[in-house]
Amino acid sequence: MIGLADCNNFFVSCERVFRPSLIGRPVIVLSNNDGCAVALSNEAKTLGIKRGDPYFKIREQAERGGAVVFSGNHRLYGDMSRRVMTTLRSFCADIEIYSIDEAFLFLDDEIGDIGEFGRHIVKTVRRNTGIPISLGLAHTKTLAKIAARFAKQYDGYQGACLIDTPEKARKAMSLTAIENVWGIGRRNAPKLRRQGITTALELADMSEDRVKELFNIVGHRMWRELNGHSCISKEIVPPQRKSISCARSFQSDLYDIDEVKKSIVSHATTCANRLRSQGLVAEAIEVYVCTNRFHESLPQYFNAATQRLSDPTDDTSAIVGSALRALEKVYRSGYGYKKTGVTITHCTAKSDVTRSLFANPEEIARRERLMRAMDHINASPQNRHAVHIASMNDGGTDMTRREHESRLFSTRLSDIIEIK
Amino acid sequence: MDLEIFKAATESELELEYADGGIQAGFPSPAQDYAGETIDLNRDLIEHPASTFYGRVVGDSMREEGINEGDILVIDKSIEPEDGDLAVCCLDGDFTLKRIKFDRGSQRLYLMPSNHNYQPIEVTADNEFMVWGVVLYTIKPNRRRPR
Repeated sequence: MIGLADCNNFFVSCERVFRPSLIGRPVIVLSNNDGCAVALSNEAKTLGIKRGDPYFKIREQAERGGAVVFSGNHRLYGDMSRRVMTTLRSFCADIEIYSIDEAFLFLDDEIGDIGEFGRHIVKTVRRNTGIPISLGLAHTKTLAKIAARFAKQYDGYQGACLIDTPEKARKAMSLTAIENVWGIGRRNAPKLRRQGITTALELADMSEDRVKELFNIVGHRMWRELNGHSCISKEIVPPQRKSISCARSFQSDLYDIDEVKKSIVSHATTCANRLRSQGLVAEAIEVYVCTNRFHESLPQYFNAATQRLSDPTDDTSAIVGSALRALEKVYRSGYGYKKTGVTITHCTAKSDVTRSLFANPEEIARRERLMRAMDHINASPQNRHAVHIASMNDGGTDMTRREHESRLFSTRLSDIIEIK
Repeated sequence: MDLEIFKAATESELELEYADGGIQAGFPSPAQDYAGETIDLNRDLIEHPASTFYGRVVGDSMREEGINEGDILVIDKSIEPEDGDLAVCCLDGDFTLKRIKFDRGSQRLYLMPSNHNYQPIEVTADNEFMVWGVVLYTIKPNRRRPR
């Protein structure tokens, strides 16, 4: 039996653990830069606010509805996620962490009353961490996802929904819109709807030949999963990331090239750090800039340029240098830039790289020692930008806007809850 | 009062060992095998790290049992609260530190302060109430202003 444990409105729930007065009130958590809403409590959803709405557009609506707004406090969410996952592991040694707020549980078939066991897991995670979760239980991952949706929607399940017979699976699939099937998403749903397929059940009832005709191998596996054949195996090793990116919107539009450069240096540095932490090297890097599309009266500009690296590298200064050369190709003065970004479009595992004939091994070794030293010093959370590339001249000040950030309740002694 | 002195680790990440044992000639000291053993309060007192949180006391409602403003509470959310437990409670949206008193006969639940200036609070069906966590330890500075 496979379980999918999914935390309910995870970021909102994390905030509520330490501020219980927010239970029952509309709560909104904003993206990295207070740009848009990334998590909503059910009460905020009923105000008509949707995930992805830009904050400045919903601000008044939120205030009128008495919503409490938070900047994303990702260190808090990361710690709470770890606590939830550790608690899940106490019930099932074999779990696959799928995202910050979701995990698959590969449960022993020996467990007697699996529904009861599921409700016990939900209750324990709630009590031990304060985080409400929904648990879907079924014979395949795709069906477990569907079951988790039901557990979340209907209180009657007490958090855990079990789909253990073909009859239950058919009933659940008939009530699941095609958009809500794992792996279908917004991209494939219109294609299916044009074929007259509107529910998961209609998809499951298609003939295998027709499925093979319409979809690739992934679609075919998903169809088999809906029909109760488990075939999306456990990801023993998480898939290697093919691209790494860092982007940011600014509080006010940037008109000064030095400001834009500074943002690119900062993004490129972040990308390089991530490359090294994952043992990857960059082969090509893309830089993009764009103006504020919500200021329709102002001139609009969007452009991107790619720069290939002569030698695949994870060296911060080489990546920053290439990013700045790419920026030169796209930068136009006279525009107010709202957002810039850097993407490492091609990365490979460092171990797979062959060096070019002209690379100087001594120089490479020296740079590697420098990068290791830099990572070591910057490793602690307080020192995140202690050592940085000189052009990031105010590296210490985080450019991110976080007006409404909550405290580090669970990881910093000066931030713990106060109790009267 | 009997006092037992233990060797205490103050840092769970940095444990300093000294006895190398390999310098002098002859037999290595049998104590060498135990040189790394220390008391680590995180390991020895915190039984459930995933459900352990910390809180700081504000106010004086528990003063008469020696819990004062500024004390740090070690709170375990995984413990099922019992009659008499010191608990961080959540009453109508606010945190409050009290002892739980559950009267089986009358099925009534009270939150008991330890300060004669405060009254016990009876929790009724009209209240939003939950036990947020059970307090396992209170950490308090015993020197006046350590800094």
